[in-house]
Amino acid sequence: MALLEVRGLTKSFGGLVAVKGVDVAVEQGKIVGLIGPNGAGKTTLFNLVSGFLKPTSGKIIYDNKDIVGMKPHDIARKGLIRTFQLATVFAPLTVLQNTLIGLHLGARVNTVGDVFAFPTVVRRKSELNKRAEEILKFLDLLTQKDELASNLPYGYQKCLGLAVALAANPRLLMLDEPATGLNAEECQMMMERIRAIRDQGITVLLIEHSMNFVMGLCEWIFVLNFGEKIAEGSHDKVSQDEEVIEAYLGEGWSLK
Amino acid sequence: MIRRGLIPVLLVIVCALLPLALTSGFHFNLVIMVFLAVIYTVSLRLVLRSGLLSFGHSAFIGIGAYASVLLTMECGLPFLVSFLLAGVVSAVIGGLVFYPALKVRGAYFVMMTWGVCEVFVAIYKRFQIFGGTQGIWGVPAPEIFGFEFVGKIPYYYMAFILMLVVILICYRLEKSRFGLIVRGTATSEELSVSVGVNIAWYKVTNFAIACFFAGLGGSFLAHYIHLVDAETFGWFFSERIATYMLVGGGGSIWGAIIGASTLSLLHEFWRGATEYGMLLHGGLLILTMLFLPQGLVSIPAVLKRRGISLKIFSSKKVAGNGAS
Repeated sequence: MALLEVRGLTKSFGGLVAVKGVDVAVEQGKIVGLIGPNGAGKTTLFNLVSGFLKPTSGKIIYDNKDIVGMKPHDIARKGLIRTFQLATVFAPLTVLQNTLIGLHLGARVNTVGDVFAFPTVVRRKSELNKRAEEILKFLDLLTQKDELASNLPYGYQKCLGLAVALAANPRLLMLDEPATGLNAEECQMMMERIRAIRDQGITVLLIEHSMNFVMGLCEWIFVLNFGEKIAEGSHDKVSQDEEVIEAYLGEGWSLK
Repeated sequence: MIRRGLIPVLLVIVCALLPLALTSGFHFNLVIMVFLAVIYTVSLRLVLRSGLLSFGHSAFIGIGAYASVLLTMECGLPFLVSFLLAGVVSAVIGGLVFYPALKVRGAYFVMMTWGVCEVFVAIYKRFQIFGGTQGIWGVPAPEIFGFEFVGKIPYYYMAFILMLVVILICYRLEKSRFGLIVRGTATSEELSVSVGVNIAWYKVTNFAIACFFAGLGGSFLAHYIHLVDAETFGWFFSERIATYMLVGGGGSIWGAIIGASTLSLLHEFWRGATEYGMLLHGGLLILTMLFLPQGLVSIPAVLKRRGISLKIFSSKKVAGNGAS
């Protein structure tokens, strides 16, 4: 059964239709890719699903409920967590603090108790620290935990963005270009991590331009072009689709 | 050599014993006004931590002052009750006013807070219950559990204790999870929202807490000087508090304390200089922004960068504390 189902989703900015009647269904427990040329409407689709933008028309069914019109933080509360295309982190805060903010929804820390250092709250906060460190360890960021996020190299900042998202305890994780700016080796590691995330039962929907990354990782792929869905299917099917080759992959394309 | 952690302790001891050395009412008044300035500035810094610069803080000091005066004089409530209620009234009105202000950003927000400040002054002048342009005179001295405030000493210690409580709570709030989330919303709203932070709730609550402390300060002020006057809560008062904070350094609670204490003392000293006082005030603000954008509190760090190290702090403790 689909965890996320987008039906006839349309978004227009004045005269420009960025997303045109798109249908997308993301099965629970899968890694699903969203590809297409620049300006195809991929990030707009992410913004619509995560509530950052309001659709002009269409339905977004998540976990059997229509989430259109819900506030972004309420959507996040339901376990639908997205990352951003550019490395978006809390720049003046440390890596650990970034991750701690990510833990917001499950934190349950009483502020009055926190101000007056009640023992129960102190204990709860050290539990949260431990949880944040676990996440950082999983992403190989633990050694940098006291570094300011702004001092990290770009690839690490992207990784930290993922740490913050993971801390929010997602059911559906939407990653906007997780491999951009990573070198080949880091890319390989990111693929392994995303598989490990999926193995924990988290459904993943990702946008990526690196075809090796998408083809090697995704079990189902949607292709957008000029705001419309032009194909969907397994990577074999999508990579041989005439329209996809013409619009995006290019003639003579092959997986390296 | 002084251990860094000892500085606050020493300061508290000095302030607690200071009345022994103070002889004239003028000097008492000076120190009490410094304490009040610190309360205003430290509470304003809470707002700055949420990424917003408010030029309307005096409005909430005013609300606290008027609320407290009306509650004691019109409703006959005991001082301590109206003192605390003044904070609550200020916080509630602050939250209500601030909620729509979330729609505007940057310079527009600053201008809006400025406007809000003037609106409240206009309200006080327009309605007789607030004493109109005359203000309200003869505000009674505080009385706590039968203890009546006579002379300067009770006021001194009340202002001192209030200042300590405000500083300690603001400091703990900064270190708390709440403070971390507020800092996050100031840094990246979209990332905060994406992990489920209800930005409006955090910013409004944070602002209301700042208004609560401002209201307590206002209540004390009214009962200390025994009058409230609409004009005193105008924008120039807000601007002064904002200047204390910016000159001292908004980046840390020390900056707020240093800025408030040095500048409020300077203000008293050049009070006789009238127009030239404003010139000095503005000049100081501009010089700080040019040469010490992080405020007076950053002087040791700036000197260190230039290779001059101040030997008053033991290096071991400094290394452990980092930039704090």
